[in-house]
Amino acid sequence: MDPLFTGAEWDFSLLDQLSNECEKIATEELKLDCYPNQFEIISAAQMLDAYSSVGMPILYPHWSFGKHRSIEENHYTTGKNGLAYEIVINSNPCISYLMEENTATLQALVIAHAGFGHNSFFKNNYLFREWTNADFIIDYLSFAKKYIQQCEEEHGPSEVELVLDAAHSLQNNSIDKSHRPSKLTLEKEELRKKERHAYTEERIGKVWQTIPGEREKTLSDSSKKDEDIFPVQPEDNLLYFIEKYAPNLAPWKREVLRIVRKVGQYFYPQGLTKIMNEGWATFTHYYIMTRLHEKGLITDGAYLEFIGSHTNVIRQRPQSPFNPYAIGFAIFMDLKRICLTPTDEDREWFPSIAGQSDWVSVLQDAAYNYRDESFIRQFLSPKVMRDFNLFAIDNPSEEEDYEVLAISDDQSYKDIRKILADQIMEERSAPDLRVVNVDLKDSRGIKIKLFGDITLDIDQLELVAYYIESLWEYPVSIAI
Amino acid sequence: MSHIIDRRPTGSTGAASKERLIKRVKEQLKEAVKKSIGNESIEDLINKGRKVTIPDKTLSEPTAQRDWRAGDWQKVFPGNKEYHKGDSINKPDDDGGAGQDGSPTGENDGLLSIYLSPEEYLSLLFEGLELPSLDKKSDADIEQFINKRAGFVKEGSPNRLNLIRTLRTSLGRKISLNGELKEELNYLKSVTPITIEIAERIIEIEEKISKISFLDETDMRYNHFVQVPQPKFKAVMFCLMDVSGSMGETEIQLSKRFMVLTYLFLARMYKEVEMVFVVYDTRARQVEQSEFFSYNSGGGTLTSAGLLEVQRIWNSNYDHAAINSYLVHASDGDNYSGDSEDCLDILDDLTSTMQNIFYVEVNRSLPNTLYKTYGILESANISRGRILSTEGVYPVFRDMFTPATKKQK
Repeated sequence: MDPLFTGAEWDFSLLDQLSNECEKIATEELKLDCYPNQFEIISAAQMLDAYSSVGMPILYPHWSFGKHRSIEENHYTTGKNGLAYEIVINSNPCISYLMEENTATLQALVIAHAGFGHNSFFKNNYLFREWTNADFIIDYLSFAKKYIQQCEEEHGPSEVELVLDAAHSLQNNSIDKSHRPSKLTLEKEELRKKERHAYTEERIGKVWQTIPGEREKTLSDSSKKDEDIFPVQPEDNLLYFIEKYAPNLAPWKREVLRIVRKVGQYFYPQGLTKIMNEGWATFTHYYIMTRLHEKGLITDGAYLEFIGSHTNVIRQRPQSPFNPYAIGFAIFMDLKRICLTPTDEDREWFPSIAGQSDWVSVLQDAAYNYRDESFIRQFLSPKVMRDFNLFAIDNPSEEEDYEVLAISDDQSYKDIRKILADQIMEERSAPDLRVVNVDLKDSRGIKIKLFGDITLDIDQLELVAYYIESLWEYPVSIAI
Repeated sequence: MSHIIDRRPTGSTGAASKERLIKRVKEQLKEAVKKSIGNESIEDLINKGRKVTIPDKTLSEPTAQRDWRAGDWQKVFPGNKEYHKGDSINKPDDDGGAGQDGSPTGENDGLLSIYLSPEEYLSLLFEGLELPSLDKKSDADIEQFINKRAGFVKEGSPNRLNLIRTLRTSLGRKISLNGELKEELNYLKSVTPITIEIAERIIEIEEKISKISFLDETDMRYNHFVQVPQPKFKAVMFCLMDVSGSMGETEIQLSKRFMVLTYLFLARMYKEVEMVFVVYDTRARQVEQSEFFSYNSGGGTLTSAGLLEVQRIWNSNYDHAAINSYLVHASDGDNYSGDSEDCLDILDDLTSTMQNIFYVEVNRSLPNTLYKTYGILESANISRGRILSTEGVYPVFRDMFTPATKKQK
């Protein structure tokens, strides 16, 4: 077969061909099930925009996005980052960005990595299936952006900015972990918004229900202590609670809180699957590009260029934080090896996988049914641990020294795996803050408590408390 | 299966967020900008955007998060070279930094670098500054007009046809003409049984309806424009620079910097201002902009020659009544002592015909001859400044062009 391209130049018909060839390999050999792809050609400046709006091209403008953009711009103009292939949106169709300055090889790489790797992950990983709705997200974001714009026109940009700042600070503590979001459509959302405005204006919140007459009644009945505790059960979704129960918040502000909450919910699974997602996409692009080369569709030169780029991405610096691409890719490659050419060690550690000829199914099962910490617990092999020279240290805060708990040798593999999985879990979880009480009778103050035994950064917490107070408008206390 | 869409034409929308960022930290940026100007070359001053640094606290995005420095933790790291189980590792002096994923902003020391384009940088540089006393309006012969939209008219040229409006009007006409006929038609069509008269009447109505034209002359609507005269502020800025031998490298640099700021300020904020460049030692010459900024010094000093030349150009080439003029004069202040009288005479005349005169004295630790000379006049429209270093250029410039209302005395 003739190579599809020989230089760095690309045009739209080449992109089409590349996409088709990648798709062939992805569907026939890797058996990937993907959303339809939408590849958007953008300039470097637009790529910077996308980067800093957390990958969402139509998010509401906020100064924090400007700040991230400035930082990204710095990095780009001083050459620190290669803004190559990382913007892909979990939506249906799956939108990924191809920068116009990319060479043809790099475009092929992005198509493989984002258009088939990330795409299939978004569509099939259980967390995404449970918690996000790819059909709905772009519409919802359009709605959100328009709404916020209207608010700015009516109430002024600085008012809106205050609410957004406060909401952003609580975004991580406002995730609904218990149920799947319902299939709202844009029309329903509009209708709901109207209804809420009308309703909220008339509604007397639970917080105000204790008018004097009633209060005396309940006071005299002292056995009814339990009813005075509100909320009945501690509420861990802070924005939700404030949205519903803040005594004086204007309806438009409540809607803004809701928007920030929904967006945060949308991104929640991405934080929990960084290693797997990037590893999967890297594995996919590696497989596809290698196959394109084997089929003669890309030249040796293109392949070398690809390898250069790929190596850069999976580089892991020693004694530095983990590069999710590196470790994710290593694990998936390792799983394939365990299937096809297992050693005795593999047979001992992974009896159900070792020697399985259908490695594609094995890898898909690993990618789609786990999250980062369970993925590590299940699939991190001694070989990968040795390759990365992993070691675990203990930091007792009163001591002067760290203690090395485990290194990659026979006695300690399981320890390392456990410590790493726990570490990932801890690093990803937001502190468990819950609303435990609102003083209904008197101060209307809200009391929040920290569950779990960790120490919080006090400076940051004070700022967050200040933000909560700006929304709640009555005393705020946080028990840590 | 895959669609490919070209988004490049829509352009970058980062502008909205960047704008908000700048607004939010405007004050800090202005401070940072003030500090950052000073040491770069003049070309860079003009052409390059630059990075300014502000404290990150103003842009903090607080969240409830764990304090990793407190409390115990256990972590795994890659890249073990020499450790064994049970080894002790010395904790680094700063608070347990190992294990942080790197600050989320990618910056450290609580400082944030913001990259400003040349446009943005200059806006901040010149924010709040204005040319004082700009009030002579021009009744010049060639007036400037612009076209402004002013509703619709019934006649016009085809390129101004407003299609929607036209069709809307025609629709109105058709409704008013058709209305009754259509009502009757509908009624007749619903009557049963159909008699011959009804059928004939139906045909008659349908014919009438078909004769009503789709579009009529009276329907046509065209966009209308009116010409609005533009008030024209004409202004000219005279830049006078001492290039005598006493002006050493430092003095020339400082003067040039000041002139560059003036030039940029005017070029940016007052597009209609003309600039006249004059250099002098014992004699004065008018020069072009490029020569002005690259002039090398040498020769004796006779300030009155320079002022005389400015006066000559101003008097002979410009209509005093219609044009606002300004003079910016940069010198080290050395002047032949007998010359002061002549200077005073010329200045006396200039202050009455010009709007404002700005004098900057460079690199003399005590007020020099010219500084005192300018001071003698005690005129309201003379501003004096002394610049002793590159850091002083911008503050003096800023001070001179801040409107009196905004000045704090």
